[in-house]
Amino acid sequence: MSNHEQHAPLGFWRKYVFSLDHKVIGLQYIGMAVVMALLGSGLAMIMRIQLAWPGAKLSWLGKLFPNAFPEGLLAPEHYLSIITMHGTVMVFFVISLALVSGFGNYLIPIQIGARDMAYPFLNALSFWVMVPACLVMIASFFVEGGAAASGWTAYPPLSALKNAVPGSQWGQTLWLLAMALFIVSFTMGGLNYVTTVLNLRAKGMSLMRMPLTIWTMFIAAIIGLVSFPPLTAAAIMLLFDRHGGTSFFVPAGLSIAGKPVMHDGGTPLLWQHLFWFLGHPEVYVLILPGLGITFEILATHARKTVFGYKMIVWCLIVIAVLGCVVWGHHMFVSGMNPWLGEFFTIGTLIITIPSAIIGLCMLATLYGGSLRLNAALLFALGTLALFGTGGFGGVFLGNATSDIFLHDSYFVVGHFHFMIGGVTLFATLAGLYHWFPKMFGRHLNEGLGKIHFWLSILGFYGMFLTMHFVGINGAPRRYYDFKAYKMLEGLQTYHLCITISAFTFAVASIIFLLNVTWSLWRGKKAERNPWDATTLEWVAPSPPPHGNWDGPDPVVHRWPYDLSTHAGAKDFAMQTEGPDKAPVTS
Amino acid sequence: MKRSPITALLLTVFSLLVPVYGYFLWSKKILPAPASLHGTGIDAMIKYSMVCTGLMLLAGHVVLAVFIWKYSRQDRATIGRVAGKTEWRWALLPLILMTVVAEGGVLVIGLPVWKQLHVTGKPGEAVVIEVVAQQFQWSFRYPGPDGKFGETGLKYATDYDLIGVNRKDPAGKDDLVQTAVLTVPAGKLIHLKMKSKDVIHSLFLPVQRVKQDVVPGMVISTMFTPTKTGKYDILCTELCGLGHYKMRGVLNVLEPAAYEEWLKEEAEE
Amino acid sequence: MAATYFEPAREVRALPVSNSQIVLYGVLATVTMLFAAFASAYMVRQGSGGWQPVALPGVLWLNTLLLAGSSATIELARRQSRTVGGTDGLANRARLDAAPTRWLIGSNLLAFAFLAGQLLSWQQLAAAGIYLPTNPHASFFYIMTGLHGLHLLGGLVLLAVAWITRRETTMSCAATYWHFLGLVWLGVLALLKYA
Repeated sequence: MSNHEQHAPLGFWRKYVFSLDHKVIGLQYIGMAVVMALLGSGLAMIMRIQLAWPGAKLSWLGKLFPNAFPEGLLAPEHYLSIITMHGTVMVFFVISLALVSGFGNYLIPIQIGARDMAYPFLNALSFWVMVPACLVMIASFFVEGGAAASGWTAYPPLSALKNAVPGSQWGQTLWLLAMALFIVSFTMGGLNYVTTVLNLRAKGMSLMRMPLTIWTMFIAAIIGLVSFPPLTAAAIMLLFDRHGGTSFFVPAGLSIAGKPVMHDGGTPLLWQHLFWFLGHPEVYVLILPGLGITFEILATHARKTVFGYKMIVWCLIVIAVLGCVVWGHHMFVSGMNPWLGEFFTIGTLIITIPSAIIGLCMLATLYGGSLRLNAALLFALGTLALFGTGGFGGVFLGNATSDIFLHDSYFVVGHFHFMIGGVTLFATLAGLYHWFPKMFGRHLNEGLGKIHFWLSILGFYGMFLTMHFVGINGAPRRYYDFKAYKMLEGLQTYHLCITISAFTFAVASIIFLLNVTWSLWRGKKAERNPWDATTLEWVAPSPPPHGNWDGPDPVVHRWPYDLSTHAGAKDFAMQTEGPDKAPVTS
Repeated sequence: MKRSPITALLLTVFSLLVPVYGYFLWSKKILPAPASLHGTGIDAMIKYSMVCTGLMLLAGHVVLAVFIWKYSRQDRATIGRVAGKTEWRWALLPLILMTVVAEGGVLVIGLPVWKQLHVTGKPGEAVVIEVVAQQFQWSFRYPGPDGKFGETGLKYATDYDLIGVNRKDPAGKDDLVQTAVLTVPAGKLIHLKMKSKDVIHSLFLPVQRVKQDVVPGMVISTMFTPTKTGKYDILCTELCGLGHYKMRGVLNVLEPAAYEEWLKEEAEE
Repeated sequence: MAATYFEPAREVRALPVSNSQIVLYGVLATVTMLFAAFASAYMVRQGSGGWQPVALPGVLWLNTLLLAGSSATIELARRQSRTVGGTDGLANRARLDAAPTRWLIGSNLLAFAFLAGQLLSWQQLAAAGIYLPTNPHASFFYIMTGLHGLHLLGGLVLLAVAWITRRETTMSCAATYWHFLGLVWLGVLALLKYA
């Protein structure tokens, strides 16, 4: 860290494609996430069209993909592939990539005062393993039987037996391979994050002076490292069950459509335990960085110190630890021992306490502030609102008794879209509005940003708050249509409302993409520190060069949220400022 | 500094509208009232959580609205950093609230209902019915007068008997197998013993508030007591393949006398 | 309120571990979780049907000795290399001297012998008509020994890197990883044999 090597000018390929610069890699991740998000949300739109107008003919899709949409009609097998791939792509290849890999790579070194990651090459390698992971996942649409169709949870035996559902032919195998590549890449990234945060901090950057973004990324990286291996183990076993003739997950004596299945004595619940041992902590891997970014933006744009910094750090740690031992709340009706279920209930509901404290801290951070209602703060406020609303849904689902009725219903879909869809996505967008000037040296257009926010938030509540109540009225998720059930007929209006909201959201996202494209070249030029922010990245030029700071290594003198603690013309002090640079009043 | 009064106004209104929209959706309940003994308990649990979280949601959004309205008009923040002690003291509020709402709700309302669902009555007290799920059909088996289920096998299965009961087995001779329709007496404890022939399914009786996964390789029990007669939907709530969405069954709840009669009629056929 | 939060910059108390050690411990945690997942799956699976214990080939005991020998030799290499010390004053830039080479060669040979022994045990089982899908115990045996072998191969790569770069930290990490894999092997063996 001392005398950083000189960064010689590099050619186009070394600079933008095979770069070792953490910022370029971060942006590459975000770019890849955008591409995957187009895929994921396209799938969601097809799904929503089917649910609002079951049996609707999409002649344009029929012309594009005559096999998948014969005469423009969506077949049930494709519907199942679509829901599976929508879930997988969005959770692992959009949110994880944009928020954890993208922002993580961009922000960790620059916010702790390092000139790059501890292992830049490992970092680049982790990205270049992620590329084939995405490609394999996309390729699975084009193999025999189509993409995996057993849900993003891939419960065996449905995912283990090739004739159980068409997507369980080659699609499921590619799904597992893509996940394995994803895990390898994510693990490399995580090791890098942990090492960088622990060992590469600038002089004076003690742990309790780290911005909350860094704390959350650091904790997320640790959770990821611990919780992904069991999924690896499960994926290996499922691959052998599918192709090696073993019987880990498939019990004896089964038959599919009258044909006996040649497996012996496996147990399907084993997969669920291993899957959710990852699956639940993964939620926190995604959501914690979202919360960190939100705190950062709330503080900066409300001109307030973060309320309860130390408390928040402890809450994050408690959530991380508890989050790793409550996976069973996804399995209340799975046939697991019911008293174990009650244990998981109590453990899960304890998590509501630190979560509620974090929510309160967010709210209290606004108290007495001076809010600049720009797009970044709007999205951060949106995150706060979604975190509250979505979090309350957890009270219903974490409780085994109410979960009996709500399990696998639209309530669950609404809840997790609020949490790992909404909180993370709104935080990502808030982050983009906030750090775009730093990343590209230009501002995003504020007017378009506001339109983007309003359409997004209206669309979001319209979709997912409504979904909660579709679930409360008894509609199960993953249904191709509800025509067979008279009691669910009254919900068709809700589905229509959700679909319209989804399209509103899609329009908002298109506006955002146009805004990004326009602003990259034409946006208002940004200075070094356009937001009067305090953390180290704002000391660097916008955009920062390879190596981050044009001057000497930054030295940290204060904690990251020294906002509105000073009188005088300037209401903040950057972390690098000594006492002589910012007069302090008593 | 640039102020945005319209945005502030819109945000304030919007924060207040969120709980209103939530209340609107909650008030339009389409789902019929519970028709089983434990169902009222489950509804009470959901209602308790809904009222508590609804109030907190309302309070949170009102505070948010006030903050946005008030503090977007200040040019300088009026509060600096607060003392650590004050912060910890404020944390008591969510701590106490969530303990009472979440954990309290589970212990007081939730646990007894959960127990009701998983504790078998005395032997002989319950009507035992076997449920067998397969892609994409439900089958139900009654043990007949001898109270015993006979041996089954794939080779015995027919179009009328998807379970495949060996009729040569003395215990299986009088077994009664029904496809898609589950007939039960009202007011009696029904004990379902559930198996699957292929993948994981989940038996969902929305009006009776019963939901239980049916896992291949396991026999899973669930208990409920229907209280109202009539015909109700049975749904599958665990993704089980192409026909998942139309794996419909019918729950037919009869008066106990009518149920006995029905059993007799079916046995004669 | 409004006291200053300024403090004179001080050196962050550096952790007593180097970057590569953090990565190493991270990897150890990951591998531990991987094998722990298999171990718990093993116990769960044992409780359900179709479980028939397979008699494990006797060559595994010999393999255990070989691996222990490999661990011992690499430890000797590490200890000798420590006496050489750094060349540019920075601990993690310390270079190895030629002295531990013979121990490293010994360690490598023993590791290859172990892997060959593992393959031999597979061959013996297969000759007895027990393949991967034959029964769950055999499946676990093949998969867990296979995974352990793959991790050992990874260790050999690390060792090769240590040899080529002659960096003391890499050498030290490789040695720790080696001992760790030895422990994992003991765990796997105990599980397959006695659980």
